[in-house]
Amino acid sequence: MNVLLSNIQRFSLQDGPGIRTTVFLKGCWLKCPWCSNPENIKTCLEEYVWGNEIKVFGFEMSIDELEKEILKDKKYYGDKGGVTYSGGEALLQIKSLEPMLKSLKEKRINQCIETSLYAPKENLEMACKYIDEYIVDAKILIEKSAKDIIGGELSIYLDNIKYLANHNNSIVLRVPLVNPYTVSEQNLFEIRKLVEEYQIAKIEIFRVHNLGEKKYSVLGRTQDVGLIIGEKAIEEIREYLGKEKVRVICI
Amino acid sequence: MKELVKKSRLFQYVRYVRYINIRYGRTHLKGKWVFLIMSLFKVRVYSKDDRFVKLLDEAYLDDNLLYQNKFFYYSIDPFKTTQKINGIIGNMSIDYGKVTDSSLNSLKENCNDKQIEIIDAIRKYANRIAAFLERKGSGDFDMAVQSYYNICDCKAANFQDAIQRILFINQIIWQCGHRLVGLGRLDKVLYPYYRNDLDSGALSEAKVRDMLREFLLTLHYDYWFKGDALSGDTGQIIILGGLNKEKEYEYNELTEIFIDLVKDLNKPDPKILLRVSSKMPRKLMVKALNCVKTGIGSPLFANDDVIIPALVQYGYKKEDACNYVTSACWEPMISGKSSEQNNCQKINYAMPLAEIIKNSYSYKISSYDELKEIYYMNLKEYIHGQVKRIYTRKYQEAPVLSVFTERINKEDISENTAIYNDYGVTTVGLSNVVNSFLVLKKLVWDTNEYTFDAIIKACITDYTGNDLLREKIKSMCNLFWGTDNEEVISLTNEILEKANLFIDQCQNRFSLKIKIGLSSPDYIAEGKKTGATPDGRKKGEPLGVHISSEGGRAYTEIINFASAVNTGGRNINGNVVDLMVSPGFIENNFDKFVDFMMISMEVGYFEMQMNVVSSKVLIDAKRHPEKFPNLIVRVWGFSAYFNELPEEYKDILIERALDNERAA
Ligand code: SF4
Repeated sequence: MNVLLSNIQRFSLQDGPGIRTTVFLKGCWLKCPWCSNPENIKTCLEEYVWGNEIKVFGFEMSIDELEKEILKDKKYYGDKGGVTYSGGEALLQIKSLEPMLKSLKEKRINQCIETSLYAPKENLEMACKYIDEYIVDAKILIEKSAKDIIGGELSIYLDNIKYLANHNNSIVLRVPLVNPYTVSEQNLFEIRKLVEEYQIAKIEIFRVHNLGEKKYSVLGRTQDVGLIIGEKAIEEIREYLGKEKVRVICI
Repeated sequence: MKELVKKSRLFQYVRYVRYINIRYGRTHLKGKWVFLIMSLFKVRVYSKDDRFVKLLDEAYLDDNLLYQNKFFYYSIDPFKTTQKINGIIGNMSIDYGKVTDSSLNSLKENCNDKQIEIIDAIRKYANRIAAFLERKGSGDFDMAVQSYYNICDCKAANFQDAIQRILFINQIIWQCGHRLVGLGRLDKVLYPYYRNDLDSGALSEAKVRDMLREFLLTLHYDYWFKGDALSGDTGQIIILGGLNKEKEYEYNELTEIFIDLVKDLNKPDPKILLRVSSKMPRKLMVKALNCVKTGIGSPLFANDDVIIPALVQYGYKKEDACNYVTSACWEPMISGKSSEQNNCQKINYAMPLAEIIKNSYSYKISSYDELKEIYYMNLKEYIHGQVKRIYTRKYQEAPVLSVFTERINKEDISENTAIYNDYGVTTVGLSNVVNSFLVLKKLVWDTNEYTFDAIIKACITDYTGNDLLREKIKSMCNLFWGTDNEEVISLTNEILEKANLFIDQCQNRFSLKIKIGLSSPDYIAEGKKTGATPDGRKKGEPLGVHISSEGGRAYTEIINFASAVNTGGRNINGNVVDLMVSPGFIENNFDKFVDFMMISMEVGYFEMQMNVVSSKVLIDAKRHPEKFPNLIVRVWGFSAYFNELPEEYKDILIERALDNERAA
């Protein structure tokens, strides 16, 4: 079985507990204007021109090979660390990964998924059998804006998070701070509501940077990271969402 | 101020004299003239048989530190030195425990006449300093005066006395022309004195810190004079912590104080090496990382879990192996028992490859195996030549170092009388050869994309008009050296095995053994002599050295590679993993980085050092040196002020920092 990847990042320290290997799976339903990995959105290989050369975003890999790659850093994982599936939207290819997820679970490798939750429910149900930790994006929680700005059907998200909260309690909510899309008063209100409803204990907020600019330009697109958000505003957001729960991260 | 300028100009002359002396000796024509002229400036170079005695008799006593220091006296007379007749033994540490724990007279028992003469000269010199200090009448130095008077007759009386003696003998070693002399395991040596004084209430912890701070600053004082090939390359290394015979990790309060002080002083020298082990407490690693993350380049980490077994397997006695220190940078040797010259020759792996390329018309190479075979033939010849040269080296007598070195008889260590006398060779260019081979294998024989001749031709023409090929090769190399790919590891070990074998072949006729290591200061100089190589390296560009983080390789992957590379056999002469780290990276991920360091020791690297710096700062500092007078970087095995480096060294560091950040 093959999967389509865009990158494997070893010694990854920001995607879940401990030392991890992050696997970036290609393909995503959304089109967040601030997305820092635009090359991960399409579900196919993408050619682009670099200098005089034609290069390709993405590569295929068999899950056996992928497992081998993940196990290379097994010693560093310890009890907490392990592998994180990210993307793109990692849930979209999760079915192809199933034999590997199973095998890694047997090997007691901690498995984490970083997901937008915009994916078929059955994929999530399958993932729940193997995945230990969830990092779930909270982007735009207002139905119309979600559709207009990131191109997502909010009900899918809400449905999935409800299922997840009922089946797994290790959820970290991750909020990209994009001014005004995600930090509008109404959106923050909705996020807080979600946090309370599902008693989410950990939230990570982060500034979106424009390091993806180069990738955007070779793909012929533009990135919108929103207006600058000052330290003070970030502090206020922390306060609002529940200071003790919120950690500011840099990714 | 004027005085100072005048003095510093004179110091430049002195440096020059020393350089000429080391390079040519006085009998060389160039040397003759320089010495004649310099004698007008009161520079004296002693050459007669009694030169060391004379030198100590006449060395001028400096009073600069007298006004600056509270506890210790130290003085080197840079205008007087001994003539170089043969190689001067250096690049080693003595066991300062012998200086603190015994009287000089008691050492006479194991000494020949010449060494006894030197001990007497040291006594005279010490008395002269004591009288000088008394004359200066500064009450602060009463303790120092006592130290100087007593050094021949008693062991050190207390902590302060112990440090003053270490400084005194250190000063004499420099004065006698020995370079790159390490300080050894000072946390261990000083601990009994520290404990005693603290328990008796004679000293407080704060005062200990004060003294050690002054000790470090005093050693740093003659920084300009002590630098060897480059400013900063002083060899003043302090070894901290380590496993004992019972395989327990030993360290003490002084270990921590030394680390704290080096961090706070923010000076490139003296530098520290921390012997680490998976058995060490996490909190000590935390302390060490807090020091490293400031960017000071120190401590270097030496992994006892790997190094001690390797030393034992090579032939050191177990209890000696546990007591290893390093020569100026990273080459292990035994404290107080070694006179090993660990940096006495170099092997440039890329040289025989460059020769094949130059003479490619005379070879018919039609397969990967043939290529390797011819390379090994050339490598063999090259190594035999380099090794032969080691055995023609002669060293001049070194009575001062002999007194403090354990020997098999009373004779001088230049006669190979120390318990361990082996030679060490440093190597460069292994990464270039491994990458070149794999590039050729893939492009020529696996995929038939290029002919062998086409790539050789590209090398001969220094890749002119072949930018695309070169770029392609360079990105291919990101998947080779330093990765944990099995093919890369096995090729690396195969070449190392051959090198070991070729050295074996020279050894039959000689008794002294030869060790080799993957780390070397010669990557720039040797690079200049070496033609373009198939790994995309142009003619004259620096060669690979250490096991470095390149192409944004994950640190875990580099450690896996380093741990899989054979560091047994002869391969024990220093193997450093050299990481480039963005500032803030350690800070922002501190706990996880500590985890990584703790686990890495188990995985099994040999040694590790880190440069924590950003390209932005380096580029700015190159343009505006005045803005960064205190910017410190790690160069090959030492820390130095960035501003004092030659431009090409600055450029390499900038390039590496950029490479590291691009990948992040
Ligand atoms: S969900 Fe993630 S990958 Fe998909 S568009 Fe948004 S930011 Fe990009």
